[in-house]
Amino acid sequence: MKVLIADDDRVLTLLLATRLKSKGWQVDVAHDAMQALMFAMKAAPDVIALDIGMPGGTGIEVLKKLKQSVRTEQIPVVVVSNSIAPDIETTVLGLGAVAFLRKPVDPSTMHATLSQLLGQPST
Amino acid sequence: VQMPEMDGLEATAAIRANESRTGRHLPIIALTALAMKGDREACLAAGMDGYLTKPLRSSDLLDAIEALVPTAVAPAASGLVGPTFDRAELLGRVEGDRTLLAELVELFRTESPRLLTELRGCLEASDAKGVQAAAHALRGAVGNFGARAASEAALVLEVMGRDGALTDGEARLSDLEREVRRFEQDLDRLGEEVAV
Repeated sequence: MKVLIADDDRVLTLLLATRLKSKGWQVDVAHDAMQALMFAMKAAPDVIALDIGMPGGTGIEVLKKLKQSVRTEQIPVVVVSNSIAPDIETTVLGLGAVAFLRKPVDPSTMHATLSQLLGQPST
Repeated sequence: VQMPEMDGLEATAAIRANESRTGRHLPIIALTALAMKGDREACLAAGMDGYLTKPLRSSDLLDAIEALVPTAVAPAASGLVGPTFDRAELLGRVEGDRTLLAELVELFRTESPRLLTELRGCLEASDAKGVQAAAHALRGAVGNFGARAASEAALVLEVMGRDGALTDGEARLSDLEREVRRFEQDLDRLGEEVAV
């Protein structure tokens, strides 16, 4: 399975990528909105873990673009955030995200969530 | 101080009465929304050692605790990690992988001065959005390690940035820098420990 992790938090991306690779996942990492869109278009991930607080265009815009493009609209998006906006979860689920994880994200939680989404064993 | 059943003054008096037999002294800090003249004196007269008014700033509470119990917050001589982050949580996140932990710490040490510099720059330029973004990024970074005090200090600046209320920014940035420093000192000790 292939996942795109899009987050400017390099500590978190390393933490998540290491765990997912150890579970046999292929992992692409993007650190800004442009990279995220590029990888989503070109690398054809099975699922995307998207932070919505990145520089260079907000993750909300990335999410909208992903859901507007025929090439990416089918890819499930898990939104990751520690936004202080109170209605952020409702907003992103309304925009087509399939799950919402609040930061700090535990790698086990992320692995379980992605596996469940793709019908993979999560152990 | 004001609590149901028994208020803080009564509780303090009861604790102190008990201590007159045991000879111990448990430091007690009053946390109260009362800020009237004489309230502080009443708390201290009841046997409390410190007095803080709400809304409470975590840095004030830490300072008050440090003043009363220096050994509780000061680095433990045994090399035990201090209270600035959740050690068990962090080790769980890396599943005991020391190499990964070392890499994460190194990454954080590169990122945190960069973000703090950015935060300072935005603050000096009165760039509220920039303050919000940099504080948000920093809060995320320290949050990965379960560094709660640093995370809260970053949140204060993030909210100030969101609200465009930067008047107190300089002081709050000092709070944040202090918390990050304390956290990094604990990371040093953790590094020494897990390297053994």
